[in-house]
Amino acid sequence: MKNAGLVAAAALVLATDAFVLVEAAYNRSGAPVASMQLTERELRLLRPQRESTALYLEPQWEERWPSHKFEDGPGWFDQAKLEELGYDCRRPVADAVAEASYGAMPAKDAFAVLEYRPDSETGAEDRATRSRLFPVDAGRDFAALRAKYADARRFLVVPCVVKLFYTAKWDANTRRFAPGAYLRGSVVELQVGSIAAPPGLERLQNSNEYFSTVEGRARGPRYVAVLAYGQNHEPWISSLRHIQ
Amino acid sequence: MDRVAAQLRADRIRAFREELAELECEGALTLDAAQRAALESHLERTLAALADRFDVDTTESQKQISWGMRIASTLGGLALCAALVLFLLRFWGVLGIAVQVGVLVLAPLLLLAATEFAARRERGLYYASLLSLATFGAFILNLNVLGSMFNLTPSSGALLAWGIFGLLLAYRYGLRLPLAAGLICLSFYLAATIATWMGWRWMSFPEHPENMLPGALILLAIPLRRFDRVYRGLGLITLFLAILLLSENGAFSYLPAGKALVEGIYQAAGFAAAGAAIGLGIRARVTFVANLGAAFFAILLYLRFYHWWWDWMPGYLFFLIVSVTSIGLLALFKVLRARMAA
Repeated sequence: MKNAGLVAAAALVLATDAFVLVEAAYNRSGAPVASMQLTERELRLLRPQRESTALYLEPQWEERWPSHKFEDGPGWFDQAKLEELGYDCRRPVADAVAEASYGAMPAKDAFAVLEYRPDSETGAEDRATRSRLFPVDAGRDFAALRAKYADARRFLVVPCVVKLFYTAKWDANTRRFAPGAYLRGSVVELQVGSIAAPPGLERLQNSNEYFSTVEGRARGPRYVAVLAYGQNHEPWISSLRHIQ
Repeated sequence: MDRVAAQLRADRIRAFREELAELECEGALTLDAAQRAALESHLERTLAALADRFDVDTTESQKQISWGMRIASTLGGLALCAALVLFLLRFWGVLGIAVQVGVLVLAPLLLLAATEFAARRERGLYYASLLSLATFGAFILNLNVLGSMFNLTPSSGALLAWGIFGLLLAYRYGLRLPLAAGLICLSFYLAATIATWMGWRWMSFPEHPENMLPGALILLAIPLRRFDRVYRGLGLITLFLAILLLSENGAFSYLPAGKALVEGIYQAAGFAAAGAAIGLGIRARVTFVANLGAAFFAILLYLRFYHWWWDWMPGYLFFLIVSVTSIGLLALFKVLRARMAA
């Protein structure tokens, strides 16, 4: 056929677009697999460019331990959990090349369990603008995690990206790394890290800029949204309302 | 015959005319009037036919202008892609979902139609080349933005679709830039698939350069007659880059060996690969293969010098050794060039 290449190129565009649209429709079909009501503290507004009218909400979560408490150890995301997620941790951490070897290991896909903790539980005064979501577990089987953390109003099970970190303890007195290095994991990002924002937020400034102002910190979040996850574990904002 | 072969023929005819004039000046060859007239008539007819059918450059100044047109065409295509992206970002939020999907689906199709129209009207394919770049860019934008509109998980399948699209554009219109872009996407798709088989995220494929090696070897091994320079060039560059990265940091290798041993293995492999490229390039009379091999050899060698000597050797002595080595390499490449000419 004379124009076979041209027809094939056009057909490829249409076929891939149709596939994408069918996948999107399937994801949002039926009841959501997970959903939770969150505020601007957990879903930060992002405008990618100064002139952009395309807006996104980025889920935020807190690490279980602040940075100055590394000496307390890996917490729940320890070597056993890393091995459960498929990391090969057989090389002793005291090995001379352990840091380079473990540092070269890439990230992996997994599911994370994010726990929603109200401010009354966290207690810190400086947390008024920070997320109330905390990662508390990770695994490769969504159904197993959902069964273990069955309270859907408190726990959100989401597809994420985890990474292994080789952590050495720094001794400020001797100015050297102290013995007792360990391996820890971290939920570094969600597989879908930016969610298309629904209409209604066009006039708002970016959340990071807003929360960096005195007025922003005093007033608090400007909207409440329901984050839903569908059949393919892909998210969308099912509803949003402004906080007066 | 394609446009590349036609241009080579036109270049040989121009070089032949110049050398013939030189030989006549030196008295080495004399043509009588009938021979000269027949020869000139044949050369003129051949050049006219090539120019008419393939729009080739028949003079040196035409060639230089054509280079400028190719650069302008490439820059224009890239600028058109940037304008499209920024235009969509500016007005995206005010469009409804149905309109957004319609724009995304129609953009690559309309640009494809424009590319076809330009290719049928213009033999030189400068406008078609510009539009083909914009078409490829529009298809990348299409899948990226659809994915972010519906919050879909990024998939390596997009690389496969882009790669096939690039190849379809390249073979339809005989264009090398979409071919190179398509082959890069397909190489990345293969590398991403290998990363998945090894238990990592597909997006982490650049973190293990060995993921790129099978794709590089395929590009080098495919038997071809058309676009062979693009395939071989990309294959060599990918192979050399992967080996270079692993020779510098063996921690990113899949090999079950110590970091230093892995680096040593890939340093040796790098020198062997460079030598093989130079040898094969000379034997097959493919200049760019020999040149790529020579450039990679030099880069590897200078990196070794740096790692071996920089920390302890006086600076003046280090650069003296580098310059003496460069002179040695110059002499070696001169010999290689003479052998290619023989």
